[in-house]
Order: sequence, then C-alpha cells, then structure tokens
Amino acid sequence: MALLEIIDLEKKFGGLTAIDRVNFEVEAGQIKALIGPNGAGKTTLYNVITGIFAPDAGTVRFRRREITGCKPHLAASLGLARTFQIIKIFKGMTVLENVMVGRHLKSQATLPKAALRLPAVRREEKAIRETAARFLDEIGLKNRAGDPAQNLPLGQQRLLEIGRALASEPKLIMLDEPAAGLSGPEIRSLACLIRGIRDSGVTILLVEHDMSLVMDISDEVVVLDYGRKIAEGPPREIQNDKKVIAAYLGE
Amino acid sequence: MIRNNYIGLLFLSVVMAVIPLFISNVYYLSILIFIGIYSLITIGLSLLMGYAGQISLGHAAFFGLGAYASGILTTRLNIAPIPAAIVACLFTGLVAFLIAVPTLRLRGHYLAMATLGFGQIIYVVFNAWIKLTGGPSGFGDIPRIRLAGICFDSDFKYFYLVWSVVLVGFLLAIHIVHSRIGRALRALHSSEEAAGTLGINTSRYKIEIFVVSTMYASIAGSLYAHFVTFLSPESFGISFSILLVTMVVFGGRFSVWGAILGAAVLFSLPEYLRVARDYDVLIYGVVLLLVVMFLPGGLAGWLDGMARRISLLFISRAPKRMKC
Repeated sequence: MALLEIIDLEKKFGGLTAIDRVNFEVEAGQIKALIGPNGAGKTTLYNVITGIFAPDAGTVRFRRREITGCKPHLAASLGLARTFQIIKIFKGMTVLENVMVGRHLKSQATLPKAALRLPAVRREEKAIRETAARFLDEIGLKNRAGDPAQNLPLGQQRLLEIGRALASEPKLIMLDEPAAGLSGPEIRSLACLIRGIRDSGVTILLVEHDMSLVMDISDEVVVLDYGRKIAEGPPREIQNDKKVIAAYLGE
Repeated sequence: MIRNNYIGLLFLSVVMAVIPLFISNVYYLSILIFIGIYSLITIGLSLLMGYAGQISLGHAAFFGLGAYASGILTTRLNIAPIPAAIVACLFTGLVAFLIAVPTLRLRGHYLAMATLGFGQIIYVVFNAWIKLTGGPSGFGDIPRIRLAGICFDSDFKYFYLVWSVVLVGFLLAIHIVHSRIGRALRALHSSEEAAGTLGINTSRYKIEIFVVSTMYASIAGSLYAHFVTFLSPESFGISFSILLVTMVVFGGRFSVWGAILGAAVLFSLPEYLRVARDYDVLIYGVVLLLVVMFLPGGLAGWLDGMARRISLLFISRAPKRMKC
C-alpha cells in the first residue's frame, strides 16, 4: 500500500518553480531514493512534505491521510520522521538527551504533571531514558551518551540525527543526504544501518548524491531535474536512462 | 542529575530555615525577603529565556498585574489574600495567554519589541486608570496575609512565607527542566525545525512556558503587595523589566540556580545606583553586554565550569556533565 503519496505537487518561490507537478508514491517496506542534480528541488520537496512550507498546489498524503500544508508536528505524530541535510542536532544537550527528545511522541507527561513529578511521570522518565539508551546502542553511539552532542564528529552527528528520528518509532523516515561528508567505510556501514532500519519495518525515502549507495540499497529511484520528475524505476533502469544521464552531465 | 538538585535544594532550605534565627536586624531580613520575591520572578523568567530561548522585556508588568490585582481584590472587594493571589495569578496567566498567541509567532527582535510594547501598555494602564489603581500616587492599606490563624505582619514571619513559596517554585521549575517538557523546550530553542519534526508542537509549548513564567511573576507580585502594603506604578516599569532580564542573564539563564544567584547579587544594584538614577538602564545594559560577551553562562555557568575544573584535579577522567 502506498504509505506516502505526492500528487501534482507544485511550489514556487517568486519566479522560480522549485517543484513542478511532481507525482510519485512510496510503498510500505520500500527503500526509495530521490536523486537529481543540485538545485533539482529535493530538499524543497522534503520541506513541503514535512510541512515546513505549504505547497502552491497539489496534495501530500501520508497513510491515506491528507497532510498537505499541515504543521510539522502533525505529520510527525502520524509517523513521519526526517533528518536534515544541514545537521540539526540539539546543541547544549547530550547525545542521550537528543535521542530522548525523539521519544517525545511516545510519552505523555503534560506541564502540570511534569511540574509535580507524579510517580507516573517518574516512571515514564525512566522508560524514556532506557528506551533512548537502547536506540543509541543500536546506532552504535552508546559510549558517547553523556557527551555534548556538538562535540561529536560529523559522521556521528548524522548517526545521532538518524537515531533520534528512529526513537520516535516512525512508519516512514526521510533521510536527507545522510552520506554527505562520510568516508568510504562509513558509507558502507550506513548502507548496513539503512537496510537494518528497513528490516525492522520502517519505510525509507532517501535523498542522496552518493550514487554507489543509491544503486546499492534502493528498490526504486525517482529522479528530479529543475523541479520536474524525469524518471522513476529500479536502479539499473535509471542508471541507463538517457534523460538522467543528460541531466547529470549538464550539471 | 535531578538528585543533585534535590540535595542542593535541601541544603538551601536548611540554610534559609536557620538564617532568621541568627539575623535579628530587620533591614537584612527585608533584603532577603526582596531577594526571595525577585527570585520567584527570575526563576519563571529563566524557564522562558534560558530553556525556551524566548525573551520578555516586559515582565515587570506581570509582576505589577499580580501586585495590583492582589491589592485591589483585598482592599476593594475584601477578598482574603490567599484566594486573591490565586485569582490574580489566573488573571495574569490569561492576559499573558492573550498576548502570547499573536506574539510568539514573531522572531528575535520583533518578539522582544512586542514584549517591550505590552509591558509599556500595562504600565500606562497602571498610571492612567486612576479609579482602579490610584494612578501615579499609588494606593495603600493593603492588608497582611492571614493563613491558618497566623497574621504575617513581621519580617521574621514574612521571610518564612516568601522563602517557602520560593523553594516550592524552585522545585516545580527543576521538575519541569528535568522532564520531557524541559527537553522539548531546549530542543525548540536549539532548532525549532528539528523539534517540530519530532512531534513537538512548538507554538503550544512557547505559549505554555510564557504563561507559566508570568504566573511566577504574578505570585511574586502578590507577595510583594502584602509585604510593602503600598503600590505605585513606578516599581513596575521598564527599568525593572530590564533589571529582571539582567538578573537572569548575569545569574546564568541556563540554570534555575542562576536565577536565584542573579537576584541575590544584582538585587542591591538599584540601591547603589541611586546616585546615578537616570543611568540605571545604561548600567544594566553594560552588565548585560559584558556577561553575554565574556560569561555567556552567567555566574552559575562560571561556577559550574570552576567546579568541574577543580574536580578534574582530583579525578582522572572528566566527570559526567552536571545539569541543572
């Protein structure tokens, strides 16, 4: 079943058309890649899907519910998580605390209850801490739990963002250039991690420039150029698609 | 982490419980009472500024709303002080909510200007609505607080009343900081976009914490009213708003302990500046600038750093980060 549906989406910034009647779907259980030359509109598309911008036209549906233009926290509450091209980890908080924030949707304490620190709140806090520690362990950052998040090297900060998003137990996670700035071995373990995420039941949409990663792990690839979809299909087909090659050569 | 705070709070409670037994001089007692009242405001303000990263340049107005509401309800309507203070608190919270909804969409400077504006509006109301507030001449004869048969008319008794409230307020603030709410606030301060994608309703939390910070100020205002028994608008103007911000930043806005430190250290500033009356806001500005440039974590941050450096001399590896 289609988990995420992008229908006739359009977004303009002044005279520039960033997204031009884009249509595609992400099926549950897939790893789908979104590629295209720089400026093709991939991050803008992400921002429109998650509600940071409202589109000028078109529909975004997640789990059959219309979320077009809804504020980000609404899409998140339905199970849509994302990471950012420019890392947005929470500075001034530890690595563990960053992941604990990921548990926000899975906890209930309201301000008055938290202020009184009722026994139920205390129990919930303990559960949040323990679950967050488990997610941290799964992405291999357990030994950095107490460190300030901003002290981590870039590759680990990217991992932290992924772990934080995973902690919210999403149905679909949208990764935005997770391999950027990573070394060869790091990219290989990233591929392993992404496959593991899919195997645990989370669908993945992936914006990525590293073609080896894309070809290696994706089930399907969507190609954007100048805001328009120019190709969609399995990785092998896309690799040989003339339009795709032309778009990248023109870059 | 939270256990460290409990220990600190217990220690502070014992110290405060014992101080009046050793200080017989009412002047010093009244200073400590004022420090307590101002701490209550700064604790609320530090939740707003340090954790949520918002700013209020009009918080004196909410302090004033609490004071005037308590004063008016007890003198004109003969309502008992404690229920009056609760009503005042709810009223202030409501006003804050109505201000917050349109204002908290604004960013940075615009938000600061809006809070400045609202603070001024409320200050003008205190001065202009003479029938209600007595205007610039103020109004007095505010009754003392009566609770469980005790009349709080001496500085000795008032000290215990104020500091009991402060310690409870402090405890609640620590609880908020160490909860998913506190983390959500710090998250939205650090990156509002990322916080939203994790399901945090950033607008709602900003409004909630703004309202909470004004309710702290209101309770402080009520305690102030029943202590000084006479109110005039001068105490609730922009100078005091800026002094409050200075206290929070100087004490360390990322720490609830910093709020009390800031109030304690800077409380006497207006006293020393009496000779340079017109220059008070200038001095606050200079203090703010110096702290932000050289000691961003304020006094509390500096002490925290010192403590860590000292413990490094005794322990071979860096200790777990102390949070407050």
